[in-house]
Amino acid sequence: MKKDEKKLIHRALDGDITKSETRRLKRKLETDGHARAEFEQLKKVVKDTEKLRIDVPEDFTKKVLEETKKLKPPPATS
Amino acid sequence: MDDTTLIRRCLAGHTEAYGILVDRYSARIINLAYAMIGDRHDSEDIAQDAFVRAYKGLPKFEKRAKFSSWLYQIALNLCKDYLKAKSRHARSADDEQLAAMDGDPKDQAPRVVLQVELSDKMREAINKLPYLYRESFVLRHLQGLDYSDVATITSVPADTVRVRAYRAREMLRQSLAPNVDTFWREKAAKEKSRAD
Repeated sequence: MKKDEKKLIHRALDGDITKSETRRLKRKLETDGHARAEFEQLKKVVKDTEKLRIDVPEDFTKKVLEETKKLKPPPATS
Repeated sequence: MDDTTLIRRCLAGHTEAYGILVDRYSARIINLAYAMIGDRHDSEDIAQDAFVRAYKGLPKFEKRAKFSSWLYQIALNLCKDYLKAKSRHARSADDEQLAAMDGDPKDQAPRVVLQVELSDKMREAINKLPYLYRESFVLRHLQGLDYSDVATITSVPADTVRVRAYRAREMLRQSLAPNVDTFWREKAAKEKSRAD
């Protein structure tokens, strides 16, 4: 795949391509199985990143506020 | 209530206003730390430390900047310090990865095993990225920030973070491609057998 085509794929992932570039990319993906596979893999990488999220412990805010209470309140600046 | 108002209230002595800011940003900061360091327990400690440091620094906070960007910077600096200390002590794989190996995978449904394995591989692959690539990738794709915000947080031009995110995606694609292929192949085979 040409370097500019690869860049186009990445810009598409960022939602940063024009209408004419979208048409160009669509044509490329329809005719080039390798490019299509790479595009799908990249989309999946971005999508799977979502699965890394973890939940916040229920007592997280309470713990932070307990720590801040041990400090002096921040002095007013104005 | 917006961040600026809450900060003003904190500075006026209404410390409970800080709880609202912590609630607002805790998920983002914990997940940022988790993606950067790969250890769940330590990422919670780093996030807690980031909020305490931000509280201490509120009087110095420049109101022209975004509170969230400033908080991200504090958290990322703590992640850097943690990783430097970790590499100095040459710690081995984190506890959670070891814990994930406990239990019999046969007891779990095949689809769940595949899904867990994929997430685990993803985390492993992200942890292997060069730090600066990981930072741009995580801020862009896990935190959903635009490149101008990532540039502000990391203090490098937007074009640089764009290139770093591009390279991170490529590296992840290359290291995860076999898993992705397996996942889709198995999914297609299951669908076929269901149709038959």
